[in-house]
Amino acid sequence: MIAPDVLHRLLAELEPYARLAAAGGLRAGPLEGRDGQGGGGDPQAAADRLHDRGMLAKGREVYRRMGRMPSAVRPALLWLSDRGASRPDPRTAARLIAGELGPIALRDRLDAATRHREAAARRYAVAGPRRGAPLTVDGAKAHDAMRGSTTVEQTAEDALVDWGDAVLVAAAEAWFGNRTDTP
Amino acid sequence: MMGSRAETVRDLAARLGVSRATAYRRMEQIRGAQSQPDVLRVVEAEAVIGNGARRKVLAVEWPG
Repeated sequence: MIAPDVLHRLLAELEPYARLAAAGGLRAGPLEGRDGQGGGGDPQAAADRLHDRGMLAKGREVYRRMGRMPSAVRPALLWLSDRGASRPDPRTAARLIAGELGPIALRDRLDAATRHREAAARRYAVAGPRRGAPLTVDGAKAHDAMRGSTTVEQTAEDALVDWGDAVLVAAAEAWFGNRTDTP
Repeated sequence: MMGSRAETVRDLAARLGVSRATAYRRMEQIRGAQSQPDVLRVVEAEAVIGNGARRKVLAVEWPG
């Protein structure tokens, strides 16, 4: 599993790119000038505010480095930059990125396992053990079905988390291994 | 019962996720309701105790 401090450092370094994109990206200034515009109506105001904080240059630098990254890790880096302000724990981050970018077979497997578990839980609610009543054969079967389906769902989720973790590790290695400036 | 496995109090406690005392109470409850056809069957099984002797223990036939 990727170390939390590595993940959080990666998120912090990628954050200016998402802020730059949210402020309008790397577009050129408007040809007609800015006379008469101000406040919220000015399309360049957000970029100006970033510039005042020194984040515009950082965003450009991240953009420049992002272009040199292998195409295999670029989607993960873009995903991380969009969440640059958050500091999730590694398992949550791996689960979320795998849920969006992971192989469709793994995601389908988890969806099917979740549906199966929910159906088993409904059967358990109807036929499962009841307080004060002796355990019936149907109740025992419902109990086993629910426990088994929970295990299957957990296994499917672990497979997704493993995939996401591998992607995060590869992204961190590519990013920190490709550093040209001093940290 | 076809395809069932006899489970002692210890097995039942592990399966249901309860203490052994609770599993014993459940076993007694099931045993007291053997007249109901849909309730799990309770049987007597043999267990080897520490000195090698055998004694009878209650076991529930869990459907497998």
